[in-house]
Amino acid sequence: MWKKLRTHPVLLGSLLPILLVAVWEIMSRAGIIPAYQLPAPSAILSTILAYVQDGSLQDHILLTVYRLFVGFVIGTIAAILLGTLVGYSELAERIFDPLMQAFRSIPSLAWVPLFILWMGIGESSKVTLIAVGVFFPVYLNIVDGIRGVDRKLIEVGRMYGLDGVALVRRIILPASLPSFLTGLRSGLGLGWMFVVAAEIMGASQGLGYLLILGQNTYAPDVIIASIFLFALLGKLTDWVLKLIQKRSLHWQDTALAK
Amino acid sequence: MTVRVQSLGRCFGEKQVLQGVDFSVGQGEIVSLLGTSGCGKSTVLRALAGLDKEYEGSITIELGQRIGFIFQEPRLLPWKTVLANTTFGLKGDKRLNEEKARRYLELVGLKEAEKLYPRELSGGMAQRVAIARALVTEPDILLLDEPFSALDAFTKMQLQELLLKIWGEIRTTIVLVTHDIDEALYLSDRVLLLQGKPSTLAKDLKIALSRPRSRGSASLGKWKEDLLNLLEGKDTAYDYSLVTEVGQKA
Ligand SMILES: Nc1ncnc2c1ncn2[C@@H]1O[C@H](COP(=O)(O)OP(=O)(O)OP(=O)(O)O)[C@@H](O)[C@H]1O
Ligand SMILES: [Mg+2]
Repeated sequence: MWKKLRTHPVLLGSLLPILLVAVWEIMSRAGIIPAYQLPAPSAILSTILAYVQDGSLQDHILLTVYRLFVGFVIGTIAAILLGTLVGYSELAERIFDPLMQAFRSIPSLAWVPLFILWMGIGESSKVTLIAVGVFFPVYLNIVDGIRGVDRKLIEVGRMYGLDGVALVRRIILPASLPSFLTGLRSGLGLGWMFVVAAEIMGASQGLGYLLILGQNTYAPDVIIASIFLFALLGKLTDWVLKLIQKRSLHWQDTALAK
Repeated sequence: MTVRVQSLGRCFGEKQVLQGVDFSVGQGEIVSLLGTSGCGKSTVLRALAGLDKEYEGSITIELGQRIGFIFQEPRLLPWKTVLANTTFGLKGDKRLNEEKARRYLELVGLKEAEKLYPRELSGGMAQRVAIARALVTEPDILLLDEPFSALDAFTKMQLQELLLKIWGEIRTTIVLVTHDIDEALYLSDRVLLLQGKPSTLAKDLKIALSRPRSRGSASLGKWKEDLLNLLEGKDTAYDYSLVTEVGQKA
C-alpha cells in the first residue's frame, strides 16, 4: 500500500491538498475560522452547485473562455506575423524591435484606462487587453526561436534551392516550433491573468464579474468559488496545449522525450 | 571546364586559411581534395557550393549545373522521418518522389528505417540517409565532405561502389573531400593536395589508372606511398612519371 502510494505520482501529490481541505473543513465547522472570512469547502462547493443549477455558471464560464479565446487568437496571430518578420529579416528587426522593447516595458495593465477611454468597457477593450497580454510572450519566443535555428539546417535548405518564404516554411518554422509552443503556453497563462483584469474592470457576466460580485455582496464563498474555477480552467487549457506540444514535438531528442 | 577556381583565398578574421588555390574540374571528373585536418578542405567546398561568399578570387561554375552537397555531418531535419528527409530536395509528385527515395534508401542499406526519426538513428545510419538525400536529386555536380568517414570499412566500400555506379550512370562531376588516401586513390581521376600555412594547392596529381580499379593492387600501393611521402613533405621520394604538376594540363 505504502509502496504503491509512493510510486504513483497523482496519489502522492494529492495527499497534502486533501489533508489541507480536511483540516480547513474541520476548523470551519468548529468555528475556529469565521465563515464570513473563509467559508468551509463544503459551503463553497454548494455555492458552485447552486450556480450550476440555475444555469448561470455555464454562461459565466462560456463568456470568460470566449473572451480569452478571441484575445488569445488575435494576440497569437499578430505575434506570428510580426515575430516571423522580425526574426527572419534583420532590417525588420532594426525597425521594429526597439519599439517592441519599449512597449514591452509598459506593464500591460497600465493600458486599461486608455483602452476604456478608446473603446468603452465593452467587449472590444477586454479582448484588446487580453490580446496585448498574449502577444508579448508569443512574439518574444518566436523571435528567439527563429534566431536560434541551427545555421547548419538553414544551409541544408539553401543547398536544396530554398530561400525566402519557402525557407521559412520548410526549415525555419518547424525548427522554431518548440520555442513557439513554449511561447503559446506562457501567452495563455498571461491571457488568463488579463481576462481576470479585463472582467474586473467592468463586466456584467463572466468569472471575473463573479469575483467582484462576491466582493460587493460580502460573499467570500462566491469569490473563492470563482478563484477555484479560474485555477481549474487555467490548468485545463494548459493541459490541452501541453498535449499538443507533446504530440507535435515527439521528434525532439531531449531528456524529457520518451 | 565545369568548375573553375582561380586564386581562391579565405580569411577568418586575421587568420588566412587559404591562399592562391587554382584548379578546375572537368565534366564528369572525380576529384579528391586531400590534406591534414584544419587545412581548409571544407572551406573550399563551401565556397564551391555558394554557402560561403566571403572568399577572395573567383569561382565559375557552368550555367545550369545543379549542385548537390553532402555535409561532413548528416544534418538531417529532426522533425522529418528518414523517408521525408530523403525526399526533401525533390519537387513534384509526392508518390513518385517517395518511390524514388525508397530505391535510394535501399541502395544505402536503409530500407527498413524509412519510418524512423533522426534521433532514432546511429551516426552511420544518419550519414547514409544524408547520402541518399543528396544522391536522389541526381545533381550535375556532387560535392562531398568526408561523406564516408563515420562508417565501418565494409559499408564504406559498399557506398564507394554505389557512388561509382551512379557516376557511371549519370556522369556526375564529383569533388570529394577525404582524409582517406585509399579512398582518394580508389575513386578519383585527380587528387588535389592542400598544404602549408596558409594552405595552397601543393600538388595536382592525375591518377592515371583505368577503372574498375582493384583495391589491393600494386600500382595503388605505389601511389599511396608517394602520397604519404608528399604529405610528410618529402618531395624527393615521389615518382614524377606518374604525376602532372600544378597548372599543367593532364
Ligand atoms: N566559420 C569559421 N570561423 C572561423 N574560423 C573558421 C571557420 N570555418 C573554418 N575556420 C578555420 O578554417 C580552418 C579550415 O577549416 P576547415 O573546416 O575548412 O578545415 P578542414 O580541412 O575541413 O578540416 P577537417 O578535415 O578537420 O574537417 C580551420 O583552422 C578553422 O579553424
Ligand atoms: Mg572539414
